[in-house]
Amino acid sequence: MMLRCRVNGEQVEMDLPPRLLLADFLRHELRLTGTHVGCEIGVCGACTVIVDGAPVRSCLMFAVQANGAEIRTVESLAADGELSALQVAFSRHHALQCGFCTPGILMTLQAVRERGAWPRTETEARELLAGNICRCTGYQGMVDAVLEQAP
Amino acid sequence: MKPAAFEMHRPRTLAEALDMLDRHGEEARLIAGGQSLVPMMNLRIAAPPILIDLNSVAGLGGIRRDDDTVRIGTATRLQDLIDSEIVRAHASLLAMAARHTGHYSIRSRGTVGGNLCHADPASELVLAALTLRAEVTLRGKHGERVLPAQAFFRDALTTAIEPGEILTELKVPVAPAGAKAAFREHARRAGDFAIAAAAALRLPGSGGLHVALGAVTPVPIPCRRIEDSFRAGRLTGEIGALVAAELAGLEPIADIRSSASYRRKLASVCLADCVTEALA
Repeated sequence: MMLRCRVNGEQVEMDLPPRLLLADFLRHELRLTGTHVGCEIGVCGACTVIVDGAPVRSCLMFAVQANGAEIRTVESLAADGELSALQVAFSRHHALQCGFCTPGILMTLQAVRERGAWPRTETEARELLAGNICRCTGYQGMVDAVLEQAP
Repeated sequence: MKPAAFEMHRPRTLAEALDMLDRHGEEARLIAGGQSLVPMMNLRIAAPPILIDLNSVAGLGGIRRDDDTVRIGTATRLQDLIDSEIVRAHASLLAMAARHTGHYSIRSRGTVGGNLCHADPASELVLAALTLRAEVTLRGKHGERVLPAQAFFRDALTTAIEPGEILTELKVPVAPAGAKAAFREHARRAGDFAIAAAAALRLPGSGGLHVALGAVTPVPIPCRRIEDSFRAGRLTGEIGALVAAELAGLEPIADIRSSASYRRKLASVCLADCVTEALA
């Protein structure tokens, strides 16, 4: 089945089996391995990417369902090798340790920022971050980074 | 794990989708947001040979107000319920319920129709639809029928939808001015499946009080004792005893998330807090 979409600004056209998950398409076909696959049942959030402006679990979407869509992965965040403000904040606040969950969290936050839904309080930040499982940090650094980055 | 191989169809119109559903019968499954179906396919609990993707079907989404009814298209994403001014103004209980439904990125993809048709016992949307006395519209190849939510939800993961039918719309009565909605839920973390949830809508004047309890039984249940007591003017002061009576005959679900007795305890807290807030 044909898939025509844009990934990080580049046009992609490929014939794919319908059962190929969007996450596996990004990693195995396009070699965009920044998108990580954790649980494959939508629980952990590590594979979150942005599809037409919305944060989406790429393990819960078939690649061919992205036909006509604009997809962005964590590789799109750093422009010309310069980390985004949020990435810098994550680094400064030690908001990551092993980094496995980080791409999904960054893409969730990126989409939420673009949609004007940035958390204003610690409670809101923790509620949003609960959608992505991190087993290293205890979330405190992420919460600090999110609150510091409030518009 | 990866899903088993399947054929995928992408209809453009509802008529085309209904044709495909009719042609392929039991072999075919509808997919919209896929937030319940795809995990089951990845685990190979489900392996439908044919998927009919509703995402390209024109006219299935959108929220509008039509006189006394808020009409929500089946393909509306759950997050849109929270962001919609129409929902917040006229059916705020739906927005309150949706806030507890999965995480932001699950709600960005998951749809109203998918959530209702999946009919999980812990579905916040099912609970809200029952509390609001909502209706669902079902379209088949040979016509349309409208069912009250009460008649649509039959059992855990079981609805009154017939083979060949597509749920096209959720219809919610516009809450009159002065109505007060309340929603309470307990889950292990924000966005997880509820262990217990309660919803209430107090209508102004002699309109009564609607209360229902979710995640405790296979289908959310109306709390008739509390509703009747309110109508009779006996719902004042301490509601603990009334909540206890309401829960007395229930056999709460026991599962991986909670024992029956813990679930009963959380249900009583949710129910008491929810009713108290609706009446405040």
